Amino acid sequence: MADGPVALEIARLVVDHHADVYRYAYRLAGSVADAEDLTQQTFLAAQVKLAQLRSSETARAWLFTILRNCYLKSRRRRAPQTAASVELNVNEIPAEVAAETAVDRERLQAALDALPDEFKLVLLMFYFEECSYRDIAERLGIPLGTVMSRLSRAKGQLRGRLFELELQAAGNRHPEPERVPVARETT
Amino acid sequence: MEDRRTVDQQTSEWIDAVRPASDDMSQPEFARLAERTRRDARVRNALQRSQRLDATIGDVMQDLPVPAGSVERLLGALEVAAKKRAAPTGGSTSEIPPPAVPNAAPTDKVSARGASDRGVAGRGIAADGEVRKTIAEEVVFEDGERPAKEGRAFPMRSRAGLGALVAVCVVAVIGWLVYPSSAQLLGPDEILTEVSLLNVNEEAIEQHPMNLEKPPTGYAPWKSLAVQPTSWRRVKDFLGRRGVAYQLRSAKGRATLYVIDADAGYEAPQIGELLSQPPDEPYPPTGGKAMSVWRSGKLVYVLVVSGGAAEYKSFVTAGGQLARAGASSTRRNALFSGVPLRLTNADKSS
Repeated sequence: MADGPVALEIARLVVDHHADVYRYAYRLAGSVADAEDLTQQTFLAAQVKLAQLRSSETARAWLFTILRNCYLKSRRRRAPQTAASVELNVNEIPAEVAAETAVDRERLQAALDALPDEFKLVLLMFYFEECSYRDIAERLGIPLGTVMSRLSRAKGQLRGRLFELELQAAGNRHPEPERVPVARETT
Repeated sequence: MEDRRTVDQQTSEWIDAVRPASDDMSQPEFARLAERTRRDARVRNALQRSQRLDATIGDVMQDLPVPAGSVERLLGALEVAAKKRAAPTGGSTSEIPPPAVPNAAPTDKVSARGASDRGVAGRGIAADGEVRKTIAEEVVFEDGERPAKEGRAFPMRSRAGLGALVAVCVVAVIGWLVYPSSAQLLGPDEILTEVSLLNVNEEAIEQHPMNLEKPPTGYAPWKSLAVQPTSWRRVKDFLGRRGVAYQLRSAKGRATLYVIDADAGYEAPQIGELLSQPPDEPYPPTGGKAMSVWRSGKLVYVLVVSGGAAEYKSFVTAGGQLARAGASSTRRNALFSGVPLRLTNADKSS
């Protein structure tokens, strides 16, 4: 039988953090099934590594770290991700429209799904975990400048996608902005 | 027309770095942006619009219902996993059971209880004990091995079957004692995940300088590393194993090389198939670490480099020995993808 105190502790973690972990997993994976799968993998790993958790205050961040690792591992097992379509000149997209438009839940997810993983991760750490750019740099182990550049480009692409999806939903005819290939960031 | 487009790229990046409803703008690194927002209305407007949109996106990010019954399914899966670890069997080849996705009936049962998305986590554990048991049974006995619920006298013709069953149990117990459960084989993913979760700050641990104190015999560093260790320390428990951790420094950074016993007795999970030499490319970097793992004879080597692939190569490729040309990437990808890979004679003899 499972160890009583450990079982209680993991159950408490589930009760306290399952919803947050699931929502984060959904934003990463984009589907209910994959999100549940990721969530389960996260808590299964947490169950094994429970001794590493030093305090309840850090549990949420700790679980999110495990979740990100599980997600990246699942991505590595799949076919290499082709470079996302970055042929979008975000400077041609009125920021005013994106700012004033109500953000739809499904459109937000569609916009996230279109982003490459390195952009999606920094975005979710910024929006979901409310990490500062310094926190993101430290946790991902990448330079501060890279985080700022990546975060800015990711937010620009997200805004652009939301704007495109909004136009599609409204059924407006709009001349396509000139698509200028954006140089892919190298690390 | 749009202030955002007239803001230079650097300012735009700083604007994007400001978290909504935070005190970021009062931090020293944002001082220049704060000054510009005071002086320049375009920057101020761009920041305000960005903050409004960020606040909206942040709210929508969190606005997501949790599927009914997901907590119960998760708890059931955790219970199954805990039981499997506590009582090893020879059946499963996977350390982690598949997701406990219930069929329609259990889902309907859970949904029929009317658990709300937000309420399940709070009141579902004790009150839904019956539901948990139902789902756990579905998972634990998914192979149809349901226990008999009523005692029955054994007919004469079952005695031979009983004897065979006892013999099987004895063999199983002997096998469990002598051979570890195949459900607990550790592959590259498990080993590197363990390392990444260790989050050890080597610089905070007392080290033995190589020129003053020799490491214990039997844990020599890898013979073809590009740089030599500067210090070492004992490792008392790495996946239930002992070993030595060497600190390395190159022109590009720092690394730790763990040299660990491959065998750990019958109680610890056993090491599965690994490469026989350090790969020329690391495992995809994560958490600011580039890592690789390989095995030679009775030792497992785990190289953890601070940085990415470039830093990793400064420890392995410069004068170091590469994995066999033409096979390294294929083998590494196959191993990391879980695709079965046959050991070659070269591997067996290493």
